[in-house]
Amino acid sequence: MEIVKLKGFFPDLDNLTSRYKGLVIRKTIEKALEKGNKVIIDFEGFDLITQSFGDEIIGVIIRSKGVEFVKNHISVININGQIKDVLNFVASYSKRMRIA
Amino acid sequence: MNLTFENFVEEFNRFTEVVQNKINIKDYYFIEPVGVGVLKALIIENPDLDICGDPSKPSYSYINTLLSVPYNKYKNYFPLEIVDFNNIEENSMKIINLIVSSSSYTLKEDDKEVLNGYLKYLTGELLNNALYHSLSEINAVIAGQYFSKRGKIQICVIDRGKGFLFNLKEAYKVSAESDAIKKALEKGVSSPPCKDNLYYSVGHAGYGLYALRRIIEEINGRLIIISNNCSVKLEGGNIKILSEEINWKGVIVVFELLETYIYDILQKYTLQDFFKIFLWNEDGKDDEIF
Repeated sequence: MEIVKLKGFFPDLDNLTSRYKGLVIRKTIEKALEKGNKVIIDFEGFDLITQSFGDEIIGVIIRSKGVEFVKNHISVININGQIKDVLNFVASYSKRMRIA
Repeated sequence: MNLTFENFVEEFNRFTEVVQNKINIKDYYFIEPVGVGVLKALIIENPDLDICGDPSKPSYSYINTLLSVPYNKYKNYFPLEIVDFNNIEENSMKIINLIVSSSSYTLKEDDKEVLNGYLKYLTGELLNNALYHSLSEINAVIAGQYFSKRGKIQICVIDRGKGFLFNLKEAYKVSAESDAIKKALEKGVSSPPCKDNLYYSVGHAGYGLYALRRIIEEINGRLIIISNNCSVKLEGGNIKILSEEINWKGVIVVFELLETYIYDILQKYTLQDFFKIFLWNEDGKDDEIF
């Protein structure tokens, strides 16, 4: 199990809106997954993400590996309602895009 | 005269006209952020460009600050930032914090926090669009201001990239910039992966401009989008083509929110509520995985 603590990457921010920072996090997640680890993403200290950021960290992985893989390998902690909604929204359309 | 949201499109070609490597802004008494942002974008692209102003007008000192070399990113009193892939959050935060902190006393601290969230979300998505789709060589410029007398917020994002048509023509079979802008304002429309962009390796769905459109519609805001030769205005729920003879390369998105209506929406919806009701109502019905 590997915890990806976002605050450790971006100590001065309280929101994550860019694809670029999402890419940084996704690369870290993918490295952990390649080692066979499950990943916990810790959003402590963040109160807002955009769909673009959520798409980069979760949507891309769902579209390449499927929603079941993400369910079984990635979980989140310390998230507020806004972040949870964005991630579920991203997961929802990414699942459909993968099927299509 | 002033260069404002109202006459920005009408004045655009005259305002940006370059004659012998000079732009003459002597006619303009005051220039709103979108005009300043446009000049900044042109100067980044061509550092030798000379901006000629009238020292008796406020626009002169404004532009001189703009032209200060080297550009000092810590001058956070000046409502303009240059944004690249790596500093979207940091630089948009500077503009938005400044706008929100100077906004009306009628907004309570909690309301300001919600407004801050809306603006960060919107500018974040606009900047993602500008940087990831446009291939803009100058990256992007963001400028903004709170106008206390008029009770309005203006924010703009500017790039010197390829524009909407370049990005959407194949995927959506559009052949004019005006159609491409209208298409970009629809839900879930996004450009396919761009091979020239090293940071962008996967396709994704687009909700950034659609989110902006819905917020503008819901709170009676105003939005102008310029993509290359075409400019389109969204007001009162209608999309109207303003001009197809704009002399610009790239995209300019400028929006204005009026304080009265901002107050109303903040009383009705948190950011989370807004997105649930207006954006994701048709999409988020699958099993939640988080």
